[in-house]
Amino acid sequence: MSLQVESLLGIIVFLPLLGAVINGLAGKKLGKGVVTFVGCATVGVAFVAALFAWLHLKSGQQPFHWLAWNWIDAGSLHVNLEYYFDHLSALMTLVVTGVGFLIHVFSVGYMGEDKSYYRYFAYLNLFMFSMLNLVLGSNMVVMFLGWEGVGLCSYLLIGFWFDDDLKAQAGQKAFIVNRIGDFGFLIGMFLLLFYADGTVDYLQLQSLFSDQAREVGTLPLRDSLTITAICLCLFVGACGKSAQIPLYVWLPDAMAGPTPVSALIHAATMVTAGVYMITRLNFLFMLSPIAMATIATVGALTAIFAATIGIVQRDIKKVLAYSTVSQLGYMFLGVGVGAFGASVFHLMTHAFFKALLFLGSGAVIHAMHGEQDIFKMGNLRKLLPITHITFLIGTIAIAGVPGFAGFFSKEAILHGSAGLGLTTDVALTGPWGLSEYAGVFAGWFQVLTVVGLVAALCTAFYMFRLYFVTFWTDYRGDRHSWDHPHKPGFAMEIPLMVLAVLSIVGGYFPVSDWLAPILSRPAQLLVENHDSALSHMLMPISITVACIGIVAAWFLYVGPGRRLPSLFASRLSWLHTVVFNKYFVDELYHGMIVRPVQVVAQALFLVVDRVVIDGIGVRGAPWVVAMTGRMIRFVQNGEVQRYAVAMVVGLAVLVYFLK
Amino acid sequence: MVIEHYGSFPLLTLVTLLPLVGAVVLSLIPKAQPSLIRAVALLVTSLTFLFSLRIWSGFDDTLAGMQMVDSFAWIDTLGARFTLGVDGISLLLVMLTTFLSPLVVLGSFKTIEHKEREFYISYLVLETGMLGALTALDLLAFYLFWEFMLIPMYLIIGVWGGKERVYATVKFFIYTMVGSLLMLVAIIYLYLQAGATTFALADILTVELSHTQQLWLFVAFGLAFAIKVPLFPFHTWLPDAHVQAPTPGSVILAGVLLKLGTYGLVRFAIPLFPDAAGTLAIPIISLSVVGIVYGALVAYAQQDVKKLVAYSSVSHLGFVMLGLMVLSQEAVEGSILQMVNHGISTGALFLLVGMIYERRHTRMIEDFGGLAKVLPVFTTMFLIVTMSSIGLPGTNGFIGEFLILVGTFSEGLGSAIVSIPDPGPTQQIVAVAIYVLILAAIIALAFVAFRDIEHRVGKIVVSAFLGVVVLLLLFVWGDATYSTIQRGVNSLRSWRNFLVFMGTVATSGVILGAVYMLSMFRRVMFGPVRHIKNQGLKDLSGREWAVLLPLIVAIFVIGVFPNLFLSKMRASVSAFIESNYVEVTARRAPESLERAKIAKQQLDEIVATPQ
Repeated sequence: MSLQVESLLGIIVFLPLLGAVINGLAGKKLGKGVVTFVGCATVGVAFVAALFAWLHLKSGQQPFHWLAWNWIDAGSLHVNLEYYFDHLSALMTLVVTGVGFLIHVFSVGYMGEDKSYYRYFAYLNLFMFSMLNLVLGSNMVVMFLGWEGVGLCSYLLIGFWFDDDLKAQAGQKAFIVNRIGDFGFLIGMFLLLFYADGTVDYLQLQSLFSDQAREVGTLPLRDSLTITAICLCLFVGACGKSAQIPLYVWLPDAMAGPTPVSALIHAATMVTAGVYMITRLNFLFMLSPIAMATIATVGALTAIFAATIGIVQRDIKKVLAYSTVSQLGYMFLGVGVGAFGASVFHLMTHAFFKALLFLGSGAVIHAMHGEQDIFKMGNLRKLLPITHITFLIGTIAIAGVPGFAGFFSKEAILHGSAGLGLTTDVALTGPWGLSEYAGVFAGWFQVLTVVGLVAALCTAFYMFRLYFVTFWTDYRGDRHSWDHPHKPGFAMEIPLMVLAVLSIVGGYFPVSDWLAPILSRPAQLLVENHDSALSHMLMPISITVACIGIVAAWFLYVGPGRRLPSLFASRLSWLHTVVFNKYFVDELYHGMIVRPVQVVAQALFLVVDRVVIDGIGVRGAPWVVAMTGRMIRFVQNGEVQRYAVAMVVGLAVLVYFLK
Repeated sequence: MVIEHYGSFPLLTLVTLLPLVGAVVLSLIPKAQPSLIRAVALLVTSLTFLFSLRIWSGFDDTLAGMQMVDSFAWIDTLGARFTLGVDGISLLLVMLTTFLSPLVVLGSFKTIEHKEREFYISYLVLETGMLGALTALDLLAFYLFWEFMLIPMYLIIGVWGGKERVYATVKFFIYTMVGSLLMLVAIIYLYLQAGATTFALADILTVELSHTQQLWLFVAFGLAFAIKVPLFPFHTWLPDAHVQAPTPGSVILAGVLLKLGTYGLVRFAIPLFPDAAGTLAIPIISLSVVGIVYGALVAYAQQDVKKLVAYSSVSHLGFVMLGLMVLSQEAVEGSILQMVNHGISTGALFLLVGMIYERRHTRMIEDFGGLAKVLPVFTTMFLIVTMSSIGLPGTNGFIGEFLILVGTFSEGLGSAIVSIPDPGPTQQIVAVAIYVLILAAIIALAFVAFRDIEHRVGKIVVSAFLGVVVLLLLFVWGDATYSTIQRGVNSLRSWRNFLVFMGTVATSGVILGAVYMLSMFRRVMFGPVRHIKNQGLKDLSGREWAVLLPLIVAIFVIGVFPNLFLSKMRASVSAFIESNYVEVTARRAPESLERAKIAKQQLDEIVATPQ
């Protein structure tokens, strides 16, 4: 049997779509067993196919394409529905299908009793299809197809239990905030299309913006202002999808969806799309130091900002949600300093341990009959031993304890940030020639590194707070849940165990080396600056920081300092209020954006449409006609006296002028 | 414009007049047999569609000019002939009309419950009017069909409409008449200029007109079309007409009638008066983009689902107008495809709204909620159409909007054609106005924030923050802010910058579209079932499935295989753009005429390669 390796891509992408269609159209009649089989098997086979494709690539073969068909041809624009399997998309595909498959299996147990079981699996498969379009597409338009597709699935799955209006609202918020990001993505793509002469294909773009093009001077655009504008527009898109400041607000609300969905979409895969996109277009972003510095800064700020909110949340999923935002911030810090390999590395390890943590929290919530407040739990290690061990492994991994996956990837990012400074590209012209600022930038990245370290401290603290409060101390919830917990079955425990193993061994996979073929350029634009004191001290500092966080969490929530947290909260109530309410950002957005748009919309309708156009314009025209008629009527009303007066006046005027 | 004869069988005439024949047949059937009347109407419209498929399959997409031309002697003393023909531009709209018609008839079975015979007669007459207006190649014939559409539409709204149908019909009638009378005057003027011997479009196109003449004539034609589209601010007849019209009326009004405006622009106004089109491009593009944002915002303010959909049309048609005036290959192809897309998705939305209205006799958003639980199939279809309407990739809406925006950002040939007026002091005024507006907006925001935010701390923080921003903008950064605005306004004088700016504003329609459609969708479909009346609703019937399924299929087929449709129009669109280009450059700069002629020749060779 000679199966073309290219056609594997077709199987990987379209099999989940087939699953979605079967389950969506006929799932109700097929029965649960068939739905489960179709839902899981399509993704499982896709994973196996991805493994084969990966082995092919690993054996030293060239990256390969698979063309489905020509999608859009108009004028100079030619978009193919084409997929491309190189080192980066291989890694992403493996993570997406692998973690995705585990979460499908977990869902069998978690969603087993839901009435809309088939609908759930149809959406989940549709999500896989969209996500695979996003990572495998060989051009930006196919990526955008996936980009919007995952947004739709996210919308549908957050609002999965749509009869709860709050959940439906959370879904809507996610979609709209994502659309704000997509607006940026589109503008960036349109601008790029103009300069790249209608091509959106990565390989063609890469050669347009290649080293040779810079040396020969054939770059399609040399104006650094325009390049920066394009990069920043694309970054807005990344902010929307990957929940960065200022567009992160939808992600915590997205926890309204079923927990496996939070694990798959809102932790492991979809939210990393922004990191993937920037890495994919690294040759473009490297041309704009300003854009890179902006990305790094936003990433670091998001990391610390979300981490502080995570410290005071009580809802187990909210803590994890803010943790996800914070970890995504790390990834952006990484891409912003040009450490693309380290970022994708963190993306992968984060997919493992965050999926594990979310699924673990799902097992806890499931066992506790839907309770999500960690202060109504406690001592759960007795009830859920396997969940406990795996959750602990995930917590250690995210906290950055040496030997576990998160440590290596986080370290790689911070190392990149501490050890690099930016310089500018001589091939570019424009107002922001940056060579003279290179030193400033280097200093700035040191600051960002420190911010990253503080965020790491917070991470270790709030994650262990979560762990201790949930699994240690005394049980504080209601007796019924304790006496009759929903113990997780094999379908839920096996994915947890697999992910726990991955959360350890994932750190030993040489991602940066694996990605080297597609990231050959950065060294030229980023000056390595390994002599800084910070970069030498980095590893001991970050280990210390992690330990301090863990010990502090133990001290304050299990150890002798147990009264202190409530004391802090009451003494510094204003601070607690501000942080607990997420710095009032949602309120700020509501007041500054949502309400004004509503008010303006009403005003336009009532004032412009009703009064100005209809009132003055449409009714005005007949009014003018009527008034003219009335005036003329006055002249010809048949009264002889009036005619006589008019004649006399007219004669007088005539005489006056003729005189 | 080349006119070729396609065979001897007058297929196009047959398709155009078949509905009219059907109307005559209907008038012979006794009133008391409504089911027979319905069956005949469905049969006639379906046959029309089947015949039109022959047009589609026989169409040669390598040719730019008119195909399947039928020309009959008509009014010899005037020189008017009855000439019909299709090219790549009208082909898709003809297909859209014949495709929608049987669906609309099928969808009317339950909606129209009195005077069935009269209704279906009006409808069939209307279909002939639309097909005729889309295929007429003789200005007098075009005008005849144009007016021919007006009367049945007037009757459909006026007889089978809602409570305030009289106001709506009068408004509709007056608005449209104002436009079409001016157009009639312009047509007569052109006829006289052409030597009073012919109304044929091909001959009129060769008439030499001065710039001033072009301007006046363009305005006369353009106003008729702008009202039909409708272009902001001539749109206020549309919501009234839509809300009062019965479902089939709304569907065909949104689906096809509005497109006659944009079609008229491509077929007549721009090719006849390219110089004027170039001069007026900037104001028209500005109005289109204002319409995109304005329509979306006003749609967001609506409580009535049907009115919301009506205003969304203003927004969608703004995209179409933008694409047409940009005059680049991608944008014009996108515009024409978007006309079809809008016909399908908005048509489907009106059908869906009609279906729910038949069940509940209300269209107010607040009367619903939780329908997804009661009507899962209906909700799924509604969702798919909603996604098409907000341009999700994979659906048809994306392809159209995407191409229009790509074309807008790529500037096309516009720079050669469009003249940018010297703004004089307006620039200063605009800059000052923007500065004041920004300050006013922030102050207003501070008030809104202070009133709306419930939490005390948040209230003070937000308002104080905004207050500080105002002070900074006024005193500390005042100069920098103002000069930035001024520079921004100045930079819009370059055509490229202008288009990038307009394209950016238009792209924001992507966000606003999601805002109004999804918040409506959520309030109607999600949440708990609040009203008892909504609990026992029946999901779609077989007939309703049959009406909606073809539209859903079309949404995906166009979204996934757009090339099937784009390839049909490619040659015609590129000829359309090139001919404008050649004419205007020749007029503006005689020395570039040679270059333009060579370009035109090369193009002709490309598009007119024999089969």
